[in-house]
Amino acid sequence: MKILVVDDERDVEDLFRQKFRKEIRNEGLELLFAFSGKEALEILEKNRPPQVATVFSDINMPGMSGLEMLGIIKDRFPKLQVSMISAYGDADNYQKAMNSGAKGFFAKPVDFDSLKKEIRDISKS
Amino acid sequence: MAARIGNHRPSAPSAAFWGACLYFLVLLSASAQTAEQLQAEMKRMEAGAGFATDTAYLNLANELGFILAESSPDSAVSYLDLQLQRCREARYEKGEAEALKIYGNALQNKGDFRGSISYYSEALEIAKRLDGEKLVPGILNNIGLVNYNLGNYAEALNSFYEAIKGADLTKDANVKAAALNNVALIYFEQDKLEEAKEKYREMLAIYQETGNKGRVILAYNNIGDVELKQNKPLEALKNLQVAYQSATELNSPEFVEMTSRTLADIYAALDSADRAEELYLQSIALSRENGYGVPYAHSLIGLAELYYQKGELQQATDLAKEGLAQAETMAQPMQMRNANELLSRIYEDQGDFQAALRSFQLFKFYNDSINTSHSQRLTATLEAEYEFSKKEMEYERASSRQRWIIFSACAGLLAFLIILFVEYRNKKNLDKAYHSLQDKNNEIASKNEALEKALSQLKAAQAQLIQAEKMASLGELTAGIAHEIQNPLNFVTNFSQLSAELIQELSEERAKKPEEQDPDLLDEILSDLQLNLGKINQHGKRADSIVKGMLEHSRASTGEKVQTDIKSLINECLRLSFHGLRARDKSFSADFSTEVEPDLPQAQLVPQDISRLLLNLLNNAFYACANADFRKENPDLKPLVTVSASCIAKGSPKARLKISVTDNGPGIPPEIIDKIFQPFFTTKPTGHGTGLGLSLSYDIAKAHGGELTVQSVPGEFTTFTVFLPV
Repeated sequence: MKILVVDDERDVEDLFRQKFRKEIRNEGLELLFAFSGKEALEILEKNRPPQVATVFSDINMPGMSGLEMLGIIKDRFPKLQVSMISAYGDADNYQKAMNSGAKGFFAKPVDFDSLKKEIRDISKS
Repeated sequence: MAARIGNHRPSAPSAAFWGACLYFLVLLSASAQTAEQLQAEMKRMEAGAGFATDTAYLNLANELGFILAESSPDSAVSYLDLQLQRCREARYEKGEAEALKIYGNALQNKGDFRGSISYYSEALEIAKRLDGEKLVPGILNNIGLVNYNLGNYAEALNSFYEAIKGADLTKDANVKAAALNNVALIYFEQDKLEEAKEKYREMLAIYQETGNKGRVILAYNNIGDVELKQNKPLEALKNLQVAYQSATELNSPEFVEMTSRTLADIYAALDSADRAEELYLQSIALSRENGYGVPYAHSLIGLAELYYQKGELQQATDLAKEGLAQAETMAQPMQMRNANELLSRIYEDQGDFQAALRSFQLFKFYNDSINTSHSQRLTATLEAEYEFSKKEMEYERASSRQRWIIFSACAGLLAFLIILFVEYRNKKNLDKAYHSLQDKNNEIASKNEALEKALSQLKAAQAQLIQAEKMASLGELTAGIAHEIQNPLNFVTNFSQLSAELIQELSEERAKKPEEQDPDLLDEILSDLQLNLGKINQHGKRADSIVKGMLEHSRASTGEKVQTDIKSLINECLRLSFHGLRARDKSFSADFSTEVEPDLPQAQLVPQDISRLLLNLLNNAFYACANADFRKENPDLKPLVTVSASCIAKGSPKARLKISVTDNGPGIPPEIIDKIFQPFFTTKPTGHGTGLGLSLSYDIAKAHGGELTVQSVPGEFTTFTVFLPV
């Protein structure tokens, strides 16, 4: 299962790889990383339908924001599940994300347990 | 003919200078006694001891001297020498002055005018020393008469005038009237008949008051005489009728003769020949009886003229001849002239042309002589008149001097008061001006104070504003800063948790039997742990630098320039600005790019100030291209802020850092582009901007010896460029 993580902070890659070490090693989880919305869309566009099971994206990014990207993804790949991760866990962002068809909404710092549960849920379905 | 008055006896016509003029004296003694009576009285007194020093005796002696001077001037002189000596020995100055005056009279009667003047002058000197100066006016009148006889009319008038003045002061009416008469005489000489008549009237008034009947008659006579000469015979007649009546009543031969003669002249002029004849005959009878020589000649000739008019030539001839003989005796040119003139007419009528011619030649001779002396007198009197009017004016002045002094004093006082008032008003005005000036000064001073206060308040306000601007921009950045801190903190948290998990995992792995242990895993965990600790350190430093930057920003600038890495400063500012805007505006979305020249040299900067400058430019750029309204209007436009940094003229002393911030927003309208660096200028809605950002940025660039410029194409882009010395 491929999961795409979108964040302008590059250290997110290291963080996620270590957090999901066991899953990567034992459960065949594959993590893809994009550092902007634009990059993420490029990755998704490579294969149709996309080989990605789910997308976790930051909201606050230079250029295309996470919410913008969410709209585009939902437009192009309606079935693809996208969850948002935001430093600002406010109701406004949450509402916008959910209205745009986000699967879930996670506030930073990310609670990886709930994130893992989410991934497990997706992999089961 | 008018008569003049001196201190001569009226019965002494021999002394007359002109035929028709009579001399009158001013009687100084109260009682008019005869010489014999006086001599008897004196004899009686001489019997007593010390009679020579008795003033009563000396006064009597003077009276006798007076009579002698008139009747026998030659014998009077030696008598008066003795009298003078007596008075001097008795130290009786009044008597001495009187004696000297009488001496003058005697000499005048002798024809020694100069001698008489010197005695009069001596008398005057003493009289002036005497208390009240009572003798002075009379002496002056006599001096005037001498001068008149000498033809010194100017001096004569002076003396008469002084006499009038003195008589006014001593209330000596007789002397005043006599002097007035003499002044009138001079006017008469000058043909100033009205003036002469006026003086005679003054004289008349005085005599009427003092009740001197003889002198009243004289005044009327003289007034009538003037009126006759004025060709006013009817008026003259009225006056002479009064005079003749009074003279008849007084039974005084001299006044009856005088008035009858003048009245006869008047009737002759009125062609009343009978009345005239009657009166001339009366005058002739009285003159012959009393020995009045000049009047006798006058009346004879007047009567002869009457007979000639009636055609009685023989009678006229006889009377005229008799008159001429009398006139010749008296040496009277006027009468001799009149007689010869009449005779030449009579001889002509009778056909005796030779006699007529002889008489006419004589007439001509006397007439010329009269005219010559008359014109001489006229000249002199005109001169005198001038002197007189000068004197009169002086008198006027003297009497008006006091009034003038009072008036002057009043005028002076008034002027002084006016000046005082004006000064007072000036002072008041000055005071007012001074006070208003002072008020204004105070006002200016207080305004100055207020202005200085306002200035210091303004400076304080400016400082506060600068601080407020900083805080406002800080506020704007807060969200961005929070995000920038939150992110590294998250990493720190995440990597530390992760590391704990890794250690746990490591422990678990090591708890396994050695053969079960995965050495690759152990290596991996250890390398991850190392990586994580590096990440924790890195993000900790990142947070640290942001907090420091924030503090630096809020702190007042130290103004200290330090070597600064421009590239990291730009990145830091970009992220702060971007996240700050993102945090406040959820819909905010913009891209940014940096084009930083690789080996950009470090620069000496005040980092807080330059970061503030860059933040201002970046915030403006993001706001311009990414604000909600602009994006709504331009949905297809991708907001983009580009920051470029390069070094121009690298290596030269003019090397400069060039940092540009470009946005693809609406651009700045040309009409306001000049104003954007002005303090408080803002296009943002009220409450959204202080209007100080660009102004302060401009100041910061200038303070670094740099520049801040702007280029903008509306609808395309806006670029702010900072040039800073390397």
